[in-house]
Amino acid sequence: MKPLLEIKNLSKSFRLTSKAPGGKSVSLKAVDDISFSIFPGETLGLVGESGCGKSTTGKLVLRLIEADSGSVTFDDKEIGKLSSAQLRAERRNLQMIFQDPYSSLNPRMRVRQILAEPLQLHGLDKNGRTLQEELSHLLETVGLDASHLDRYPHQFSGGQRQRIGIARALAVKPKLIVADEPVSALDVSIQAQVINLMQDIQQQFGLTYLFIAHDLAVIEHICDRVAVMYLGRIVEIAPAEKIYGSTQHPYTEALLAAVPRPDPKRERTHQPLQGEVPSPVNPPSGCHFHPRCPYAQNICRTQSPELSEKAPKHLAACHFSHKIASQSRTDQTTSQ
Amino acid sequence: MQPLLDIRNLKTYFHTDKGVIKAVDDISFSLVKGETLALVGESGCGKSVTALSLLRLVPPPGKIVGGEILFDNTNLLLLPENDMRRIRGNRMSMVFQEPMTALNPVLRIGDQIAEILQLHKGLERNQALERSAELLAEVGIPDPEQRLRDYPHQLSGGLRQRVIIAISLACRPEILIADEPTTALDVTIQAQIMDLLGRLRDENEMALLLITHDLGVVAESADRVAIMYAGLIVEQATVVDLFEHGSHPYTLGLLASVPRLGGKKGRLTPISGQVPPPLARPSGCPFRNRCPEAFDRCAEACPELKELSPGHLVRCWRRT
Repeated sequence: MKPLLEIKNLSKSFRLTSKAPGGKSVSLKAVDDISFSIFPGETLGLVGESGCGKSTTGKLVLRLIEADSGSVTFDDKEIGKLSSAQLRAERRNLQMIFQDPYSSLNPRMRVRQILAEPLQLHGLDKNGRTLQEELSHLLETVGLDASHLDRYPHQFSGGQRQRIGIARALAVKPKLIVADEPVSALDVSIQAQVINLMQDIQQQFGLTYLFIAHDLAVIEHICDRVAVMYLGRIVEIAPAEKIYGSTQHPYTEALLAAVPRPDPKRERTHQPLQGEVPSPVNPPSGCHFHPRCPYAQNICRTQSPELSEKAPKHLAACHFSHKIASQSRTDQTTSQ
Repeated sequence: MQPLLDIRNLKTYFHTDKGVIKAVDDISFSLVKGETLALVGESGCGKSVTALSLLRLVPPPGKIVGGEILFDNTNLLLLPENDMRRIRGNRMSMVFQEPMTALNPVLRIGDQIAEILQLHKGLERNQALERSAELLAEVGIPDPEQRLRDYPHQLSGGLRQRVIIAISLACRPEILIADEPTTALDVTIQAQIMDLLGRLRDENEMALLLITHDLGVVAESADRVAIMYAGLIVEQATVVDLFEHGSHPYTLGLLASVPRLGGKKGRLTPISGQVPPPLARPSGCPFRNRCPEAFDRCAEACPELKELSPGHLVRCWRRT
C-alpha cells in the first residue's frame, strides 16, 4: 500500500532574537530531520513533552509554516513545491483540528458562517436550500442540532465548541486531518465523547489522522501507530501495541512509567526520570536524551544514534535498545 | 483521631448580576494529620473555590455565606483578618496551579522565599536567604545559592513549581492545599513533583488537600477521595474503596470514561450531556440530567450524603 502522507528528512529551525542589548540571536531546532509516513485510513500518534516539536510537525504537514529542508508528500504531490493557488486547492484534502476550542472559532461568526466558510473558499457552496441541508447534516454528524446553526461560539460549552471545530474540518470532506491536542482542553467526561466522535467519523468517512497529544493513554486508545518525539527528533516509531508492550527506547519507557494509573493497588516499580527536559536551544550532544538516561554510556555522549529497525516495523534511535527490551520482558514475566 | 481541619456545611456563593452562583453548596469534610485527601471533579464543580474558601481568599463577588471551618478547634470564619494572616502561608498554605503566573516576575526567587520567612518567622534577611537556599535544596533544585539570584522567567515550569512548593513549605505548614499542582507540567516532571509532595508530607506530618481532575494522580497519591459535582460532594471514600467499589453514578461515569494504559480498545463510555451551567442547574439532584439511573424521585429533591459503609458516603437516591 502507498502512504497517503510521506515525510522525509523534514527540519525546521526558528531564530530567536535576544531582546537584551548586544544579545545574539540563537537558532532553535524545533524539528530535526524527521521522517515518517501515514497510510490511508490509519491514525498515527505523535507524542512527546512540551517543546519536543510535535505541534511544529503538524504545522509543517499543512505548510502553515515553511520547512527549512526535507519534503512533505501528500497523495503524490510534494506540498512544499505547490504554488499558493495549488496549495489552497490541496488544503481541501488536508484539514486541522485545534487544541483550544475557545480561541479557534471566530467569536463574531455564527456557526452557520463558520461551517460555510470553508465550503465557499473551495467553491463547494451550493445555493440556499442545499447548503442549509448540508450544514444541518454536518452538525448532526458531530452530535449537535441543526437549531444551533444561528448561535455564536460563546453560547456553547468547550466540548460543543470542539465538535464545531471538527464539523468545520469535515465540511470539505478532507482525506487527512491533523488533530493537535484535540481533547486536552476538555474535561474527562467530555473528552471521551469527543474521542468516540473522532473514531466514528474516521470510520464513516475513511479519514486518516495525524493525532498529536501528550496523553499516553489517549494516544494508545486511538492510534494504530505511534511516534515518540524528544527535542525535535523521533526517537521511536512502531505499532501502538509494540510501543506500549515492548518499547525499544529508554525515553518511551520512562514516559510510560511516569503516567499515573487509576489503580490504587498498583506498586510503582520505576524511579521517576530525573532532571528537566533540556532547552531545545542548546540540546545535549550525541543522543539528546543521554543526560537523563539510565542506560547511557560514553558512546551516547558523542554519537547520535540512528533511527533504525530493531524489530519488524519497530524503529528506535538508541545504542542500547536491546537492554531495555530485555528488561521490560523480565518485568512482564515477574508480574505474571 | 481528632481532625486537624474540620469543614462543616461550607457554602460559598457568588452574587452576580444574573443571579446567585452556588459554587460551593453545603460541603463538609475533615482532614487528619499526615493524610492526603483528594478533591476531585471537573471544571466548575467548585473544587478550587473550596480551596480558596479555606484560606479565606475567595475573590469578590464571591462570599462565604455559611458553615464553619474548624482548624485546630478554632473557627477560621470568625477570626479577625489580622489573625487569619498569621495562619495563611504559615500554618496553612497553598500551591497554586499555574507555575507561570504564581510567582512575581520582577522579584528574585530568593526574595520571594525570604519574604515569607521574615514575615512569619521574624528572621533577618540574611538568615532568611540562607534558609531559602536550604528550602530550594530540599525540593530538589540544583545549585540553590545560584537560583536565589534568578528571576522566575529564567526557570523552567518544573523548577518554578518547585520554587512555589518551597515557598508554601517555608514555614512548615500543618496543612498544605495543592490546587492542580501538576496539571501544567509534563508527565515526567509531574511524577517528580508528586513524589516530592508525598515525601515532604511524610517528613513533616503534614495534611495534604490535593485538588485534581486526574484520577491517576488520585490513585497514586491520595488516602481518601471526595468527588465533587456542581458544588456538592457526591461521594467520599478511601481511595481503594472508591476505585473498587465506587458507587455514585457520576463516579462510575468518570472511572469508565478515562482511557487506561493497556486497557481494552474499542469505544469509551462517556457520561452523556454536559455539566449544567451554574445558573441553570436542574432541580433535585444536579446530576440527574446526565444520570443513566435517574428516576422520578431525583427531580423532586436532592439526596443527602449518606453512609454506605463505614467511611464511605454517597449522595444518591438509588444507593441509600
